[in-house]
Amino acid sequence: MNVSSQVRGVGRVFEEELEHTLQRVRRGADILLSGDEPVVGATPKDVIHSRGTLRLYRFRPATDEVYRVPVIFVMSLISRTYIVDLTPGQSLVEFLLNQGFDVYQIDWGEPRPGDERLRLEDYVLDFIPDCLEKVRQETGEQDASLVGYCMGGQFSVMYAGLFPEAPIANIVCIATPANMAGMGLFRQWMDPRWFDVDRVVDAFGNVPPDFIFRSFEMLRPLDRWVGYVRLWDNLWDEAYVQNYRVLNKWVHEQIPFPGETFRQMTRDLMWANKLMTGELELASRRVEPQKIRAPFLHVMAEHDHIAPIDATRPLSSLIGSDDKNDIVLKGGHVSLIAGPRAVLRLWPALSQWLAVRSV
Amino acid sequence: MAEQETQSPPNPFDAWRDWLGQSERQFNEFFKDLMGTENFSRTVGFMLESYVTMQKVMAEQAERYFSTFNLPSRRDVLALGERLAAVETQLEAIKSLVESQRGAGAFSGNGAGGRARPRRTRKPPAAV
Repeated sequence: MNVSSQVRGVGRVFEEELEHTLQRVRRGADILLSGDEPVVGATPKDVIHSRGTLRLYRFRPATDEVYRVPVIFVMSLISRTYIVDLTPGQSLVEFLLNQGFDVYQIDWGEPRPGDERLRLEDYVLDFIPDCLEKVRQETGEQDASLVGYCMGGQFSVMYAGLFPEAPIANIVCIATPANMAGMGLFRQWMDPRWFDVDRVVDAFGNVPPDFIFRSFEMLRPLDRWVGYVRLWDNLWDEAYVQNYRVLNKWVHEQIPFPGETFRQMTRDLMWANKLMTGELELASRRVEPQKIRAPFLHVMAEHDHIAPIDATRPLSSLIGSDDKNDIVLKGGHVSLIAGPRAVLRLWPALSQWLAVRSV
Repeated sequence: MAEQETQSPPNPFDAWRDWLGQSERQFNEFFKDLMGTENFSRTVGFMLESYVTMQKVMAEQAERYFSTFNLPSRRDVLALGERLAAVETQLEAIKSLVESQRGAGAFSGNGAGGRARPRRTRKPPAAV
């Protein structure tokens, strides 16, 4: 490349950058002035069961013919459930519907002050079987696949480990921690020597969302600020801005953690690591994941800083099923399930794995 | 020669983006090391403890204040909320019972229902 072409090339770069800057200003002004909230959780759905804050949704099928086995999303307690139905065109639920699945979702809702008394037993021994029964009545099918994201995966494993004979066709866990010794900074901060879980729960009841949000943020303190710089850099790119806005909305919409469940999970899982050691008991019944015989899939993110790979990887070793698969994908805790590349990575892998096991 | 002509020219903004990514990683590692120490965790634990204590004292003070002025306290509002939630639960149970007797679901009955049920006979694409 000679000098004149190099100069022309650099000129083009600056010309392009100037054009991008004009677009940044225009788009930034549009967003600031319009004040529109990004559209989230927009896939049409019906509430087929409600109980307190719990809602069991059935998403309206997108095809005339669906797989026999319904798919039920079991969500985490501490985040909004629209992460699996982020926005039209970037929604795992929408993708699965288009692939011909009959999709349900257990949304725990935002706990009220009275819900601070809810324990793991309530979720695992009462709410999940109740929802499974409602899905059975709705579909006429005896079995269903459970797809649990993060804590929802733990709930699914606990339920299946307590009731190995339950009509579960398949279990899919996504970014689900099992070995709490691998939880890195979280475990360090929650060490019983300096973290008094009883005082926190007794003082607050439900653990405030800000407490949880700040803990997550502290894991990567620079992320937010670098995110703003990257947003500026990509403000000319409509797809980037759209993705940033919906994910940012989700990240900032934390919900309280039901107090007693937080106390129990801190003591039994984070401190005593009982899911990993096989000592976890709910209502005096032992959770025995080694008795699970349903096909099992665990999808993990290589760069997950919330549920690190050291915490998630051992999960499938606890499961007794002969048909079990681990998939490690690039990405982080959120981008794994809802990022723009999830459509190329997690979603097709999940759909293919489920399809052959859902007839 | 033609190949050389089509090569991308050096982009100074890409260098800046690389620097940003590397700096982010380095700073995050630095903070991770810093926050992974026992001293940091102990300090955070102490701050949390102080915050919880302060919150408890303030809640007690507020409770006394509302009681003095004959106003409903947080406890009273929560008690009311619980009673409402109990009524709501009963209503939901009745609604569920009525719907189960009518055989209503997302695919029958009124409102969102009434759509044709999809056939549950789909087969996976071959050779998966």
